[in-house]
Amino acid sequence: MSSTESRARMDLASSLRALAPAPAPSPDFAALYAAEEARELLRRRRRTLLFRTLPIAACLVMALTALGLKSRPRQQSPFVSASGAVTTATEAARSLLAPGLGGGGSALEQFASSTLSPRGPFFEQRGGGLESLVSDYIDRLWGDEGANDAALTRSAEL
Amino acid sequence: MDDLVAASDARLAAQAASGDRRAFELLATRWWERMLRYAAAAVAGDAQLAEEAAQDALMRLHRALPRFRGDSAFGTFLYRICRNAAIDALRSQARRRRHYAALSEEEEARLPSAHRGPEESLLRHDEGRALRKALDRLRPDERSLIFLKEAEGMGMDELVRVFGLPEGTVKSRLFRARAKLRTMLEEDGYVID
Repeated sequence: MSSTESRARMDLASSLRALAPAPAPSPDFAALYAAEEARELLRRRRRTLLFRTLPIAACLVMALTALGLKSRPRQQSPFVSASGAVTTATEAARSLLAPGLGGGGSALEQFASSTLSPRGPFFEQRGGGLESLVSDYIDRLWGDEGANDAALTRSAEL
Repeated sequence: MDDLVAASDARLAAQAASGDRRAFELLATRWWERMLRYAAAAVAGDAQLAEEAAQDALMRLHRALPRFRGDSAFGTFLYRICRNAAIDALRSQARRRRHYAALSEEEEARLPSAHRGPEESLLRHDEGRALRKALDRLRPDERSLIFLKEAEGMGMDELVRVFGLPEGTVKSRLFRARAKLRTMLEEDGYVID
């Protein structure tokens, strides 16, 4: 008898199908929908967090850039001192986070959404034009002292 | 009885993609057993892992349906999702095994194992055990190829779409996988048709 004859024949297709769990469990739709809802909730929270942290990041960038400008004597910084720039930017961040505030908050928000977006001038002009860009922005932002003071006052009141 | 029950896969998929849960459940139920069978072959007969992979594939399908445009058969689209889910399930299992390996043998003996427990009953016959052992020695994609070709009767065009590989590569991988499977089964005393 040949070695082939001594072996048992296997119907590969049906043997492969028979590997499936038996009895077959049912699809768990409830778990699926619950997971999808949790995922959607998480996605919304992440987006909210992003919008809240972006202006703070903008403040930090401003503060750090102002520090950099101040450290170069040939550059005319609109700030009296580097520490003043940090304090002002921090105050602006606080005012932005306080509900119902406009003034510095909305200006910062505008800065964050336009200047810091991936296609915005901050990234496009990284390099030579950056310093003048930031200087211009700082002039614009702090030019209206009345609005800024009002925003900071409201922030302090809160 | 509404006409959804008799609707085509493509129509159910379109309705499910627009948020119709009933259409999704009908479609998923229609394919569920095939998903389980595929997953079982892709994970070499581990029932618990097969169920995990199939359930994961179901979730991925729910998310991916808006991307189904009907330019390929629904089965092709679904098996591509199942393939990725099975590969990820195997990776998770490998991570768990590495973790278990760090435990003492005594502790490990108390943990659930893919090769112990109720699923043993699924492979009561020597034939099933031999097939599982042979599949376990193939690579995941080789197991998937063998299953889709042999058990599902999938054509070369569909296999190419599922695996995203050139036809020549699919053919050569399939040939090698079959040869390896045949050799291993012959060692255990079986000859495949």
